[in-house]
Amino acid sequence: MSKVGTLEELVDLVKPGMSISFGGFAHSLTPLAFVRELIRRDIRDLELIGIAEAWAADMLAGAGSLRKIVFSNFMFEGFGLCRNFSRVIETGAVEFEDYSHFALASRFSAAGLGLPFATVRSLLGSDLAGSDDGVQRVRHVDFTSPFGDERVMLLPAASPDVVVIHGHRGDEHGNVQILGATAVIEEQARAGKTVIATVEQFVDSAEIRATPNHTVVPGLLVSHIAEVPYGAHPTGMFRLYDADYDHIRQYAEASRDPAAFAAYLADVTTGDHQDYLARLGVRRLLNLRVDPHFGYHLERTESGWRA
Amino acid sequence: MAVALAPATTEEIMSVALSRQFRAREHAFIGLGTGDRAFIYAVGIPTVAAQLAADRGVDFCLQYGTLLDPSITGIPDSLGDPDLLDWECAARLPVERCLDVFRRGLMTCSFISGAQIDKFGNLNSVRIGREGPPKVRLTGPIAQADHAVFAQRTFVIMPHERRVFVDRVDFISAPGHGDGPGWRERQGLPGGGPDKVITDKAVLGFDAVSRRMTLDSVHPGVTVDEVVAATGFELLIPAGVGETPSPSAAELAAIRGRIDPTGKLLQARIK
Repeated sequence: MSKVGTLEELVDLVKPGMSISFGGFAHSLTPLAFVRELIRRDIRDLELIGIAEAWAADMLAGAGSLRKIVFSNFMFEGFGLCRNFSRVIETGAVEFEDYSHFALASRFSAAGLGLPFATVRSLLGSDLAGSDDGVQRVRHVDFTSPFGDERVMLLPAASPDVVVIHGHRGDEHGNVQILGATAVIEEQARAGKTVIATVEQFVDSAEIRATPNHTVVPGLLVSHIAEVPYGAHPTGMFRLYDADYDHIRQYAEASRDPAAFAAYLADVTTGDHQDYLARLGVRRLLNLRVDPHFGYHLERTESGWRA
Repeated sequence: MAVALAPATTEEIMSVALSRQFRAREHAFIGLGTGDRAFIYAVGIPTVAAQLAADRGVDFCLQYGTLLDPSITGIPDSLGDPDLLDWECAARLPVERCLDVFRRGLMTCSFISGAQIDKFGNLNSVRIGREGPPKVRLTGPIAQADHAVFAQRTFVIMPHERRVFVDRVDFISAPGHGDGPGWRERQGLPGGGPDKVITDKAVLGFDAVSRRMTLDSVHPGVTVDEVVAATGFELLIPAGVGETPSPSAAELAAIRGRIDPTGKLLQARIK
């Protein structure tokens, strides 16, 4: 059976009630075309498991798609707090579990190794696991090493029902190549029960095989793949296009107010991804392209292009 | 002919004070993040301090998030993905591996901050409000719990305000000295916990016996009373608290001329 599908077919795999994790790093690499399609279909009751992929978390929180958030930290780099995320926790609308960065990454790693639990020390001594008032905040077992006397904590492996990543290039076998920072995408992909990839561009498998060092997530782990150009917008893709900071500023402003954010969401989910790109316009999309050698944006000046 | 230098800014005083804490052959971790004052405290001041210490010949290795031993003077114009990826460094570690040096006990010091700190140096970056849904939901524990558990010593860099220096934090997201002597040992925490707290008013430490926060020195122009008024718990104040040393002309010239000429670090002029 072919792994290749359309964005819509891949989103069909996500059902209400599932646990889900998204790739992403600061203002880059986030599969936001997928997230917008989830919101357009109004798929709700999701449990988001994410280390720091703020974009997916904040958009889905603002859309009312989430039942629970399991995470380490969400912030909009350079713009402060993630307002939708903060709001759903402040109003008690969404359950949550806080982890340190490494503790949650360890839960993914355990799942990737096929083990039932992770052994960590990162949550010792804080209120993250539980506190004096007897409230247990995350599922854990206090444990003393049978090979010594060190105190450790056991945390259950985290295997999301669906892991969604966005990459630069891919092929029909589900191989995904990513350039630049990959954050914890490899751990997420190893942990997921079903891994879905969207990529900027499909290439022939021979091209992938000629450049295997760039294959971050091998097809072995990927069940479904779709070609979704500009699938990370308004976040950026290293060496392809910059984060769209004008759009990010609009988003950050809208996210301060539920009504304004609802209007933003209605606007970006009016049609499908092609409609979304058409409304952004060719000029804007081309202006986000970066120099493929330098990897960053070139500004147009009277004397030509300038880094 | 020497040109008269403008008086030291608070951030310059803080940087110089922090730089005096560094020892040779340390491995120090600086988290990467952007955003005005949070950036100045978490990244800017530790970076300037590290370079000043390096100028004095203190030999240590810095790690910025996943970047091992980058050239400090080559800090990029933005902390966006493309620029970070072009920043020259010895190695770029995967995120899930970049804290290994902590867990092995190899990380000697790190720099953390938060919304609240208490008299034992426990930190909160999770929530304001103790019971029920929080009044304000903050960013989350990040990797600060990892730092606080494993680093041999942490340096906390905070704004000195009464709502920040509280008797009891609403939530411990990065453990300090818990509730006092022996607490870290009982919890099984391998690292040493908070060593110094550097604020915009003072340098503070922790009493060796009670583990409570003590006033080490007040910055030039700040009085002990002002520090006490800005602290929401009883601070231990040893007799004869001195003044934080003012940056020397050479240090100011180094900061302004070479380390941070465009204000990227101490004025957050970074994208």
